[in-house]
Amino acid sequence: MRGRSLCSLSYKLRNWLNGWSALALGLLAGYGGVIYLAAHPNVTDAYRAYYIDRTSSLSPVMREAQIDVLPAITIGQTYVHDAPELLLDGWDTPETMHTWTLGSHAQIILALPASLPPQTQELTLTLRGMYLTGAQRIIVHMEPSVARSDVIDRTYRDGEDLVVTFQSISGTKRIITLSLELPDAMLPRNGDPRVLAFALQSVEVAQTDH
Amino acid sequence: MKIGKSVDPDVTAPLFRVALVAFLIHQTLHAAVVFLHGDAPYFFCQYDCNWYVGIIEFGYMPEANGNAGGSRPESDVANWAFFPLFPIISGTVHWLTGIAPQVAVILSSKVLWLLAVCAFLAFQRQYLPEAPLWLGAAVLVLNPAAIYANTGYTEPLFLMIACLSLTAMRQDRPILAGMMGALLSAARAVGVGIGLTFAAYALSQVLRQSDAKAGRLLFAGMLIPLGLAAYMIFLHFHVGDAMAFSHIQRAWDRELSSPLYHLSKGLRGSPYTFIMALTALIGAALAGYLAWKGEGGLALFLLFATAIPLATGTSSLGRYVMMQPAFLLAVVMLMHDHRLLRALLVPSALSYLWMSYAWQESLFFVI
Repeated sequence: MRGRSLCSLSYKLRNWLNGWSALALGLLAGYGGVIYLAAHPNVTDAYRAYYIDRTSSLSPVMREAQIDVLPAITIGQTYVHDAPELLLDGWDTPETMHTWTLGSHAQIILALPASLPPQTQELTLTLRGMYLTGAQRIIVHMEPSVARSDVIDRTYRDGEDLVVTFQSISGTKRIITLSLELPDAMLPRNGDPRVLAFALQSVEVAQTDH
Repeated sequence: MKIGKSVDPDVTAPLFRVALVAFLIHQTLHAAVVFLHGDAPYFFCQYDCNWYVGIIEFGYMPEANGNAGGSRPESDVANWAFFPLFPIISGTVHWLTGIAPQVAVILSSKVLWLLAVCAFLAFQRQYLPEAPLWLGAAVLVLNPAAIYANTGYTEPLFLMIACLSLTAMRQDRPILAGMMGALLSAARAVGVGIGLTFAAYALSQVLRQSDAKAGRLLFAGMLIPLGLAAYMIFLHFHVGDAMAFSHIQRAWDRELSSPLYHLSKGLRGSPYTFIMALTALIGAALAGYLAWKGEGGLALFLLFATAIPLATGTSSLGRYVMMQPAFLLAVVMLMHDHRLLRALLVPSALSYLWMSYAWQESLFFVI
């Protein structure tokens, strides 16, 4: 009895699978492949950030053009938030004293001087933040990977500066990109429609003795 | 759901005659505006037309740098948003005849418009046989969005293929309907929405006829996304992003959001966005009317073709909605049922003339 029903089921399945249905299944499998390709784009980080994730306000072309003309910083000098030496992406338009991050991603791009001595450097961001919940988490990633630790993940309280220690870069590739992930970014609860986390006041790169 | 109505072969000749007369009236009105305007040429290629010319001349861009046609060189735009079927056809016309790409694109859209008028009348004959052909022809050629038949845009091609697919469904020719659907999804992303009409048709077939060839229907339905899938595969290997046609909308500040959000924003915005949002509302109302008239499949397609572009904003929504076969058929239905409404053909024709003038003037809202 069981054998007969299995036989009948197999007959029905074969009947259903032949001809048009088999072709339809073939197409369906092909569409599965297309969905896989769509979910796995093979693009640059800049493309992904601007066109797919929409976390960047600089298109890849604009980004490249602005990086090309970015003036190099001088070690030991402090740069205010709207200095031309700082290329900010994911930030609001500069205000008098500071520039706010917008949303939960922000980047600072800067060019190091070509003749940087092979020493450890300290990059210090002077930030003032929204501390509605007492503290804010910030995840920092430096590209190229020259920071002492690849990813810095810690909680900051008001008044603390963000310091990233990294090794000097040799050769011609002098561009440093500091990516900030700001998971605690929020609306300020004062009617301001922006999603804010930190306000950048200044940036400084200095040599350290250790 | 109405299915399987027969076609009288004797109606083909009058159908073509009505289509030809309507086409000639449409072209004469446009030519009169061009002649009276005087400043811009008859084959005036601008806005999207230039993008198609760029695709013919340079192909699809490997990166988004604004360098292949369009009006924003050296920026973040690329031509990936423009689906390939229309540039393939107009590019072939350019290649075969040697005429300038700008002329080839506009000439192709005009020839496709004549075919679209024929296809629409054939579609009307299947779905609304009691309505006179002249009424359908008048609704089609005397509407403001009919300007896009003269401008090198993809609207005539989209309308023609959509009508052919819908006609094939009503004639119970699922494979042909599916093949036309595949072409439709290669003409514009929303073309894939005709799958909703096909699903309603296939379901009604299976429910009504116990011997319905389910496998054949399934295969035919599966053909519909083929054009879109082929373009996505191309984009993946050319750009690295199969969804580039959608992601590039960022360059036009189109943000994917709820259609209701954009609708409400449009209604509260400028006169232009208000009119576009109003068109979307009329589209939704006509979809409801179609559903009430028993054409649920057409209603679904119209809703889809309205809601998807609306989800990225109200820009250009007028032509997206008003050049849908279901939208136009619903208007014909209303004018057939309520004769007084036929008076609307006069302001409609005037608005077509106004749009022709606006095109020659390069006014922003014709984009």
